[in-house]
Amino acid sequence: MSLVPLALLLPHGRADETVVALRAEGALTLAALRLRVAQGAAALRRRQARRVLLATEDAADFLVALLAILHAGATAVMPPNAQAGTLAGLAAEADLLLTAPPVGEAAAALAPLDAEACRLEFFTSGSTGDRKRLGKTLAQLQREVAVLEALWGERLGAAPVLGMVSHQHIFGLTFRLLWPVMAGRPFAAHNHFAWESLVAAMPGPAVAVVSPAHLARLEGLKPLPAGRTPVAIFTAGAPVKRTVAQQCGALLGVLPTEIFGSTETGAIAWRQQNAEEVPWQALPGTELTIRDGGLLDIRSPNLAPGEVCNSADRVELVPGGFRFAGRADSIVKVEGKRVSLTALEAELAALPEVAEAALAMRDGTLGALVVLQPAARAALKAGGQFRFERRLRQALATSHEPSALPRVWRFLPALPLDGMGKRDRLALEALLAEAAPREPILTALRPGDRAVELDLALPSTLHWFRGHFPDFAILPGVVQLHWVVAYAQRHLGIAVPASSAQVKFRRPIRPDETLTLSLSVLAGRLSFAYRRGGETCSSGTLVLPA
Amino acid sequence: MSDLEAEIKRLIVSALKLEDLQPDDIAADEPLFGDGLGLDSIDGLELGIALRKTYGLKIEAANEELRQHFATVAALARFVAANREPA
Repeated sequence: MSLVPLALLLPHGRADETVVALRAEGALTLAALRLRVAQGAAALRRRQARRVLLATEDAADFLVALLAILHAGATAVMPPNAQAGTLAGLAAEADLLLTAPPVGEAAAALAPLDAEACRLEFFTSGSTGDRKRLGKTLAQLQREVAVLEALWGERLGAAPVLGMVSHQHIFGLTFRLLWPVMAGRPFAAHNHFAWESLVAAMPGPAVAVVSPAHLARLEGLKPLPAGRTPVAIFTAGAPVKRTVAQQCGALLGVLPTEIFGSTETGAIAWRQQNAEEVPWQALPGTELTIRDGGLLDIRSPNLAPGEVCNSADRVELVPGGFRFAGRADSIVKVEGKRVSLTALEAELAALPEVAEAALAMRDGTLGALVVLQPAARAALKAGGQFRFERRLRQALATSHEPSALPRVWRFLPALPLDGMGKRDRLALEALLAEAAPREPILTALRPGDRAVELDLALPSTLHWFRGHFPDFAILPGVVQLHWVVAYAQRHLGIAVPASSAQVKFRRPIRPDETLTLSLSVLAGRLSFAYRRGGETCSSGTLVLPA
Repeated sequence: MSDLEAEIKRLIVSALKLEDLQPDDIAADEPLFGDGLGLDSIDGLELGIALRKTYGLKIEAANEELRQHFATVAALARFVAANREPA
């Protein structure tokens, strides 16, 4: 279909009766859009709005408001999500917050926009976790849409565009809204949250814009009959597993078209996994190069003229394109959403209940390891762990989308050793993996001359506390010995049989305690002692093999 | 409480791997999402899979309607009872 730039759409775009958006209450036609935008723009001009923070639930409302802002000569400021805390935090960035289209009365006819002068601002997490502001012109977004339409326009034809991703993000904004509007395809104004409703809203061929999180959860769906399968499914945010792509093909009748990009760059590459190991392929006009460290540099019509984006994406060039090898900073993708571990750790640690916190990913799931303030421990016990976790999540959810927040929580007496300013990622991941760990948390290590001291924190969830005395959990002596043998091997490099041990147990070792274990080698013997504060819990010697 | 409600509570805990929650801790009339139990959109998708697999639900419904069916354990039980595949 022929493309009309957004800058020209309302003054002299398409026929008045062209359907722009599909809504439950009836279609939004171009004529109705033009009227509402003209009125809204007049209202904004009267209020002398310069910078408008825009967040709406409905995509058609968003389009009306966005065009009104641009036609009023103001800058549209896009929050990274529509959570109340995020909007409040960005209030200083704008002189007006719109959560619904502005309403006005009589208005003058709309003049064409100067696409180079129309400005939109986005926010994303920078590589150090701080919030980064990104300005784009309407011209940049129009150039991106022109590339997409040239590549896929013919295949999509006049199919309506439906979505399960928010239009507040760049991917949703471009694919669900700007592209369809410029190409003359109707878009569905409301966002679907379940496949059941998306499928119900697709009586015939349509374009679906979904997240990798949705694609990974297709199981159990009845295969769509021919004639109702989408013409294309676009997804972005994270690579889709090959098995997931195949399942999508089997159930929905079409392989997902994956888009590689970011808020900074928009869409820059794509792939469709119709074979093993399909590389990402640059979109026409995008030029990709690798700089030191294997990081991707991007030149693209989506960027400002002459601009180069130095990404933190590690890639390998392969015939036909590139392979993505992860991020080079503390940004991770949780359900396809960008999360800065550094920033989120700081936010978590700032909650009143929390003394210390660390985050780690395991099998694509984000987990939190938390040391609670003493007062909060009672609340955890009283309300049950799950509700307590979700309360902490709720506190973070004022500025993050809940699905991008930690899903697995571990409440610990201490966090593992913090060496060289970096937490031991493997230790964190191991703590996430096991609800009932078998090893204590190593919080400090002091090597000496043929000796070593270790500070150990014992989570109440430790496997060894289960069983024997349900009302009075203690650490079994055999486990204490086992740890002595293991740490002597690991930190002193000596193998000593536990069978040679002579041990004196003085005081029981209880859950949530922090101990110091000293190991030292003297005269063919390994001596050890577990101490808590000034008192010895147990001590003994093991005979080194001759 | 109906057997189906108890079954759905167990399904929620097992399908969403809520290792820190007991099925009986969920009240039948408590909102599952948002301020109640605190489930999120990803939990909703996982729950959808579990319901399709367990009860053979083949449903297509409008957004709002679906939202209401997923609101509480009690609402889900009514919905499943009316739509489950005959055994």
